[in-house]
Amino acid sequence: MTVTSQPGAAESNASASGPSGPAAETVPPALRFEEVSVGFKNHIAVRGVTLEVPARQVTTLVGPSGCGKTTLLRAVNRMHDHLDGQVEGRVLLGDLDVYGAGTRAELVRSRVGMVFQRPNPFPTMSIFDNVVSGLRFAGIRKKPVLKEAAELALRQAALWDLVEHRLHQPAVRLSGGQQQRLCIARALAVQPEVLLMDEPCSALDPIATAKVEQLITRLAHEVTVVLVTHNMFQAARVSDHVAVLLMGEDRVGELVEAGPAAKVLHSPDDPRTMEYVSGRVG
Amino acid sequence: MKRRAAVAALALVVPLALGTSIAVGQDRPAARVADASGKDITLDGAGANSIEPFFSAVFYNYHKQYPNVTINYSPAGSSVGVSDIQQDTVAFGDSEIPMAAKDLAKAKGTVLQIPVDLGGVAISYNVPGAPKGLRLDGSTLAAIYEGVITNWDSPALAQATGVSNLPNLRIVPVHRADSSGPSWDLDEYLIQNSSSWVSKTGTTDPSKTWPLTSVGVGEQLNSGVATYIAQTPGAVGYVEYGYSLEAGFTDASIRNKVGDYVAPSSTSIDAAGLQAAGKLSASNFNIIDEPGAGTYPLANFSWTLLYQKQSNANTGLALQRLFTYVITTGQLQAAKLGYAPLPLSVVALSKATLAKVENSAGQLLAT
Amino acid sequence: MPAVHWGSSSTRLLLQGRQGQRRGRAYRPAYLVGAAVFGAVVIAVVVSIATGSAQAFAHYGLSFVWSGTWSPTTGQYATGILVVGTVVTTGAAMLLATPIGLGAAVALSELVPRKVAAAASTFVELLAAVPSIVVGLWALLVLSPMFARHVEPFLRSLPVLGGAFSGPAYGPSILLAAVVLAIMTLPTLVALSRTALRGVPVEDREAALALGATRWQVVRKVVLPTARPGIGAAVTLALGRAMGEAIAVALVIGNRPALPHSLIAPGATLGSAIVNQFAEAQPGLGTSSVIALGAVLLVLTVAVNIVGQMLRRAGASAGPMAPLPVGAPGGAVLTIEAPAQSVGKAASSGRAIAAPHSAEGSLPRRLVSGAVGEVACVVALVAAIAPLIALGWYTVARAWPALSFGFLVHPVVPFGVSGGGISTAIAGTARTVGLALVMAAPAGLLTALFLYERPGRLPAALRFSADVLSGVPSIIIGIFAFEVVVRPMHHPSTFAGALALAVLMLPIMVRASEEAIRSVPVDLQEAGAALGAARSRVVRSVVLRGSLPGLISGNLLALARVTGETAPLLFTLASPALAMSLLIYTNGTEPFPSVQQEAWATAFVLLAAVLALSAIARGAAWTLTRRAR
Repeated sequence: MTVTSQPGAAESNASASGPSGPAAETVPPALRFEEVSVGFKNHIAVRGVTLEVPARQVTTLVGPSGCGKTTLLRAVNRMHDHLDGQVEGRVLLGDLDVYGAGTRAELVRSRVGMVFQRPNPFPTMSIFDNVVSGLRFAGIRKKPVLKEAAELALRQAALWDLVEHRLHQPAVRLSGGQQQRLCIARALAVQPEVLLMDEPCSALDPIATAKVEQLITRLAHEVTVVLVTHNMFQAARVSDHVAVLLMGEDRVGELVEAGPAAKVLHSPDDPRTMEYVSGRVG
Repeated sequence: MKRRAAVAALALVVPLALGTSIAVGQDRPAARVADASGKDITLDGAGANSIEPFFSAVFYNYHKQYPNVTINYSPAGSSVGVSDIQQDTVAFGDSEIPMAAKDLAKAKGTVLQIPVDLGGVAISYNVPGAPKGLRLDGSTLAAIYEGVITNWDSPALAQATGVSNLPNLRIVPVHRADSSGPSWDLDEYLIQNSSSWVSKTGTTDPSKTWPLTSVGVGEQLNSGVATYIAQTPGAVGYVEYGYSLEAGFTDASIRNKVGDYVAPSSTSIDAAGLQAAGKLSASNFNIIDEPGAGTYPLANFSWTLLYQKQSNANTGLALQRLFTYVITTGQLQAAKLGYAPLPLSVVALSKATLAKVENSAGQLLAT
Repeated sequence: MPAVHWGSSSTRLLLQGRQGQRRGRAYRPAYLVGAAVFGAVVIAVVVSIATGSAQAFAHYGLSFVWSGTWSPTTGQYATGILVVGTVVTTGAAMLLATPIGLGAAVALSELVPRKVAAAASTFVELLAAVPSIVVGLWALLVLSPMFARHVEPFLRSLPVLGGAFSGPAYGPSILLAAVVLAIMTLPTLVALSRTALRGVPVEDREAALALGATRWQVVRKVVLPTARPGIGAAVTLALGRAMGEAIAVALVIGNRPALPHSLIAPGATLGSAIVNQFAEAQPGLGTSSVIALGAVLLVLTVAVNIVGQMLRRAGASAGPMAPLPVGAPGGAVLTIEAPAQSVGKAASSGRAIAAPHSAEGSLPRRLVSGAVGEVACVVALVAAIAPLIALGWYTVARAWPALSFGFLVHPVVPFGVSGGGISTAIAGTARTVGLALVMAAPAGLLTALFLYERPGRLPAALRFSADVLSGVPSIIIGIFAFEVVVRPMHHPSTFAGALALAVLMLPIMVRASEEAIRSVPVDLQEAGAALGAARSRVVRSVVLRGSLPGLISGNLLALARVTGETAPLLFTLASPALAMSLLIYTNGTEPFPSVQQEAWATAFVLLAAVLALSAIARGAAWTLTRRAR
């Protein structure tokens, strides 16, 4: 990451948070964590997180590796279910209790999109099939509907002009950055309320990273974004809100501080945040 | 680290050691009881499969009596027996059908062909409620194997057998899938007794491979045919009489040359041998459908093949002694295993042929 | 050949001095010789079959291959009909085995709890070692009557499908042979397919899950399509194995060399015809014709195996999709679009799709169809394993009364003599297999080292031929040993049998050893080399020692595989009393209860030996690997 790119990105950040800022005051949170702990067979990864994620804004989880940011993120759409992960506390998606009795994981996930660290388009599918795969999973078969949704999602992911004429080529022929934007389009196609992004740029080069970051800030007009990153520059560039997770003395991740990005990153209340942020930034 | 190495070494070495030690153990000298010649000797033979039960029993007892003589018989098939003798790679061969002149011409000297056992082929059936000794003649048997008669209660069968209450059950004709003496025997009998069989198969030359495979089921070896008959109601097939006897099968009575219906037994098979005895020779070996009341029509000799001139006199003597035992004392076991003891005149023929064995100088070896 | 050293200090070994260096000079020639031996074996197999069948092809011309004339006395074996029979029988077997095997693999890889899956997978892999003669015998004695009485009449009575099952219900039939082949190939099919399914990256599964897919949808839409090349390879390799199976098929197919008009009619395959006709073929042209059947079978199976191996390689390289490097065509030209006005418009119309709503509405249906699919897979898993469990139970039940200490230590005696046992057969099997191991192990290890040391086309070709050779039917290897040993020496022998088994073992050993050697981390070797050790010394003290568990388990698995072989010994050993598998073959088909019982007791001993060898192989690899860590 070049330092020169920072001012520009910061500008776009400011412009992004500007209009959506006031909206956050009035709209109820898209996502709420209440005393959430996630544990695996023989250890607890993250403990006692209580956090509100404002709708239509970018909320970033930052912290050193191993502090449980990804674990917390994956708790939102129940991605620990198939790995024997235990989630305690409540996660509320709108007014849906994600871990409530009778709540199906499939239903939660159809309202939450996710983008992973490495681009992971389905290798056997074409670009088009990848984008509409979520809709097909949901049982939508009508070609016109799928086509419209694909175009919309690809436009949202700033990929449409690039792939318009090769929608039926294998997705894996795209470059890494394009693949990642395809994955974003795929996640957007199901019209999620919340988009979870787990270090989406960690496998990308700087140019592709810049594109994705630009996308993120723009997407926040449409959808609530929860981003995980260990890159403080990135957090500064794209976030409206920042939540800092750090490891406690027993090596269990805890939420230390959360709030508007400018405040948390420049004048945090908690000394531990200060230490972490200044260590990274300074 | 050492222990790991040891375990590893052990894992590699144990199967090997096991193999070698057992291999060595195999060759341990047996307790010596002197044969007349006294020396250790091994006789290798190869040939017909259907004589294997008889040979293995006789050779086993012979070795028990004379531990210095070890006999390895490889039941690889009659043709192997013939070709091995032609190439002089075995001490003796065995064939269901003796070598013809053109085969003998390829041999490396005069080959003596000695009848060593007399066997019969039973037509066995598994039909619940059917009587023993169901009467079958050549054309009926052919019709069954041609797939013309397909049910046990068919009128044609009732007429031929004289039994009218056979069950309504599909006939499953079983034949040998491999080449074999019994196939040759039955084929020859059907060729002699059914014109439709000849026209269906298109030849009057009997074949060791069953000629009409499009009907019924083919099974391997006597054992396969016998097992199939045993487990399949409605099945009818041909097996060495010994198998039928041991398995307790119901056998058909087969119409012979003079119109008698005869069931297989040591006596009736022996009768076939007796009919042939006077004129029997390696070139006139066929004893299918011999005349005479009480003669079973599906009978055959098995022939042992060995060179008249034996370059090693010890081997020659040992062979002479072994097969003298086979055609005399060994015949007692024949009856137990379902073969018929050789008729005395045939024993005489065998003895006379065995007596011709010579050493390399052309002198007769005395028994 | 480089000896494997078992010192306690690798440094001491590395710096052992001049003597070691002198021996080190033999390293390169040694592995070159090993590779040469392996190459020679591959060529010898092909050449022996070619020369053995030359007379038949010279006499009948190439039309021998599609001839429909069955006349064994003149050496005409209706090759065309046998080819059709082979294709129909093995095709039917694969139609049966593929859905069951795939379902079972899905169940093992995706559905059942991980601990159960691990145990069940090991069990399935052990089942792959069950000798085919035991399966064939069980089918002959148990399945065949059952088919004649119940299965075939039932199929015949079906409304529409019945047409494919017309004619008398004999028991032995193309259908029964296909079922037997399916049972026999299922363990391999399940194990290979499961490996292919497990190879689908977790990222792909999670991507689908995160989109709201049900577990079943993940399987159907993502895992199965991604694993398709691997699954294709598994099916093709199983097909190759089914094509080459001779003895078990000959026992249950009814041996009718005619064009099949019904699936329950008896039929014949190339393999079954070879088993039936080889021994009694007319010397000369007849024998050559049977070998020509082998040549045709060889070409068929090699073709199938080449396809299978190519699919397998395609599947392996497809694996997790690496993104194209930056700067790849189309990768660098990025145009950042301004958020177009149309987006908002499309977005509003997009809302009408209401995907989450649709997801909720379709969920019950999706869950039900998922449950149906998952239950079907678990049923398939049971169906894949159940026949072999039934077989095991039957073996134990029938063997039990005959098993005694005396049975193990007394020699085989002829029928009618009492007090016999199977010690000669146990010894014969141990001797033949042991000799085969001695012949194959050094060449196998050296060839593996060659493949490891040398880059380029020759090793790649050798590796490929090892994979293809491992799919060559064992009966053809039997003919090979007959041609190169039994025919010139004019007598069957332990050596001939051992040679056949050694050729069967060799490709398995080569590939398993190479894999084991490659599993040694490169940095360990570099550490050795950095200490100034010669290449040969690094190989001996680092590579070979590090790969020891893999080497041992690979060799033991090869050993287990050939211990139960019957077909290659049929024409090469002097007597059925000289191998357990042959004894089972000859005695098991006898109609006499006492003899059958002994055959089953023999089968029990053989089964125990083979399973023990495979289990030890896995166990050894496991403990040694664990201790090495």
